[in-house]
Amino acid sequence: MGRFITFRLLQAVPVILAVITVTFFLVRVAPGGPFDSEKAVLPEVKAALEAQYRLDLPLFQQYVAYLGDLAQGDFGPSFKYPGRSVNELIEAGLLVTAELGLYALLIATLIGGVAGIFASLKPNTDQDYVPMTLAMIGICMPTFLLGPLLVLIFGIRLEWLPVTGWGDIPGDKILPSISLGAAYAAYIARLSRAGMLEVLSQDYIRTARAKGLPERQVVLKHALRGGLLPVVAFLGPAFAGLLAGSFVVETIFQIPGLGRFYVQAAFNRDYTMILGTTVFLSTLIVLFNLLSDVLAASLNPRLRHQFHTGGMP
Amino acid sequence: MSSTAGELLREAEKGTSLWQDAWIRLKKNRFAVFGLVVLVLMMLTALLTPWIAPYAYDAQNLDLGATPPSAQHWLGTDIFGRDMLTQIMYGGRVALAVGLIATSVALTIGVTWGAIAGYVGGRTDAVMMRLVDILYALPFMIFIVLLMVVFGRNIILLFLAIGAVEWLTMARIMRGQVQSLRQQEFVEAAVSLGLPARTIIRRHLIPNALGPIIVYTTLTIPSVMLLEAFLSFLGLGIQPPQTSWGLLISYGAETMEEYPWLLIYPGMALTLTLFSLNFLGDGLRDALDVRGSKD
Amino acid sequence: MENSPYVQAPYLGTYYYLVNTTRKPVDDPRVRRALALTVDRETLARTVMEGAVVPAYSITPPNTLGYYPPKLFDYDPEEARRLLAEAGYPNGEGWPGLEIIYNTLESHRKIAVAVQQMWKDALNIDVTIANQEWKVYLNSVTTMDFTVARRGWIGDYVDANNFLDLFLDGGGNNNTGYADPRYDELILNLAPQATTREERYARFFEAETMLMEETPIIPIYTYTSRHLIHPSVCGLPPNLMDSLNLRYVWLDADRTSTAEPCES
Repeated sequence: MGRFITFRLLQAVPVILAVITVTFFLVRVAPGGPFDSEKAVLPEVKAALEAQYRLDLPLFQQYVAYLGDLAQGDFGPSFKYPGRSVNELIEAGLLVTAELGLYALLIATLIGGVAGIFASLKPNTDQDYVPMTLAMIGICMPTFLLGPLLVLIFGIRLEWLPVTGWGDIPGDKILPSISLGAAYAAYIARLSRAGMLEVLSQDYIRTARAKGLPERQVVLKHALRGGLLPVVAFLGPAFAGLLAGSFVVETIFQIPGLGRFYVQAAFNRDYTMILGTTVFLSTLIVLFNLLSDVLAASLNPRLRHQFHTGGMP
Repeated sequence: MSSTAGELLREAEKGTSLWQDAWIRLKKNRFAVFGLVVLVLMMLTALLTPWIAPYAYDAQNLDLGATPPSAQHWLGTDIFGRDMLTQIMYGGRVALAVGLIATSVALTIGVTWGAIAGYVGGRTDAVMMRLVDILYALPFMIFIVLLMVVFGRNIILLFLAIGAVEWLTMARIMRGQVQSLRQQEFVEAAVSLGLPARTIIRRHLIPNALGPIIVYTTLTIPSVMLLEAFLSFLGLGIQPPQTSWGLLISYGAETMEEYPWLLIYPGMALTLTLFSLNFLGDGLRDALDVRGSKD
Repeated sequence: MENSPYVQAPYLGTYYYLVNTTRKPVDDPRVRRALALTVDRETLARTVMEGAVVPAYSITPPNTLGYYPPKLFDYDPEEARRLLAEAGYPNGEGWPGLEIIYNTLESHRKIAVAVQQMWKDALNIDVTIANQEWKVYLNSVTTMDFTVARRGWIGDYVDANNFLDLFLDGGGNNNTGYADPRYDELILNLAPQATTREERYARFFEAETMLMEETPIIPIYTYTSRHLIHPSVCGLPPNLMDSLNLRYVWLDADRTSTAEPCES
């Protein structure tokens, strides 16, 4: 197990390094520098600004200097918000996005998991078809469609819930969390159903039933662990997807989270912010994937040997 | 006695091909059939749009503005007075085009990559698949947003970017398939005949791995369409005057308080299409008895 | 609307399209004029902008401290087609294409989409639109990497000079390639040296007429200030800078409609 973890950690390093490098050079290629403004800036002023932010050095030197800063945990100053560092901004956005992601993941896992298990107990009956069709709708309705629809119905027409903000009005965290979590609830429902179905057809379950154990015990104590394995393995990619989804949800609901910061930074050519957010988010994703793989491997020893087979992550 | 036995024997010998079996099974799945029917209708509509659309897609009527569904405009009009039904039909063309083209890109790269890795095995395989792993770990969403922002909205770039995200799973599946097929006798026979690897891959392996490939292609298309809609929603995908469902939904969301139909109808079109594709893909998977890529 | 508390008045700002006079096909003033002639400003103001703006035919807002800009043209698709044909693109034949860029904002998009279609309908030419992020857009404008670009200018002080000096040769905010020594002479020397306001305004008028004859910009509308003001509020006249000088305001509780005069 330890070897597995070490191996995966080592694998993560080139990935993160690749992310940093690619993003760094990609961002520099972009047209539109961070110091363009409406009333034309005097060339001397522009040069001074660029010198301060090290933009006048050759590209490779900038890259190395940046790596050095990163090693000390410094993401640099924000270009768009002078006087504030990227670290501060990431911190502020992170708290919000993390909370949003957590609620969404909870909703997804609980609702999805329960629905899938429920459906798997009586396959090919209405108990199965109804949740699975709902799940299919959840998969087919993108977040950027579901969000506005929920806002339209619950916020505007029924006026039950607030439509913007995060933490300002009680209840304003509900709609965004649901919008973000719905698609994942759907995936998890399908995964848990498939997993449970597979496990429930195994011999040891039949044995347990033959022994006369009550169905609830059969399901909860024996089937659940194996059946939910695909769900656990999915948590890693789910997290990455949630982050992507947060771009949209944060934009629709005007939530000051990391996703929205990222998109705005990209549009504003705020180099350091883009770099910082990308590196940070990517590292998080890689670590989360690792965590999810380790968890899955601890539940199913067979996975420890399947580093890179044709298996789904 | 012998004639019945003879008949039975002949019946048994006739048998059915894998495809016929699969087709029979597919037909029994109501959802999949529904998906197939809807899909075919959509494709027909998309192909015939220039001829059957009630209005020109750029015909504006500023004084009319946004109106709810009526006899002249079955799905209403947008803020420029353009007919929504027409807009949605043209958006469908784009959606299907993106879906098909980007998926083809993913398919070509993925199948080739996976086939080579699976067939050659050994070191080459390890390296190729390690690369896939690393790429898999990259948060593509982040990069695509950055790519589109940096290089502008080029439709070719869009196809390539989307295709580049989706080929990885295809490669993994193909490799798994090829690996298991390689053990089979007919492949050994081909090898001992002295056929070059390329021919073996092309003529023997790929056709036999077609099952999972078809299934995942059918499931990749909606994924691709969703990705395009997402990018267009953010303003990074298809640009006006061309239209796309993602764009329509994005504009609709802005004015949904006053003109909810601008959001609802494009939304329904997208959801219905994805629905059909997914059900079809699921049905195909069950029919062809493909067990994902676990084995 | 009778008795409405809604008060709309012109504001010291103009929304226009910048034209890059150094690029084909808009290097030909006839083409530029044709484009200006086929923007149906009245309809735009009435529909897309929901009546909240005033059509503009020149750069300076009307009644800028008593100065009224010249109006050299109106909506005239016939004349536009004639000019376009004269310039070598009869009925849009041979038109190389043109792109309007604008910074990402819903209202800019609406106008661009409408104008794009107006040009297509009236002149049969293909026009594309592209939105750019603010930074990129600014870069495009200052480096003159555009053919037509959306622009707006809000005055800093109530005087026509504020708008007219935009188009001096090499001005940092010119960005059109327009330059004319007589224009510069008028704005920089002759107008400031005028001894009476009439003379000064006459110089401005001459300069602005020269400018609009070349049509390096396509004015679209004059901004407006919009407020909801209760009829009992007196002493708050609309003004071009939209300054709300509340210390001079008083309340006349008996006044129930804007038709009545204010009594102190």
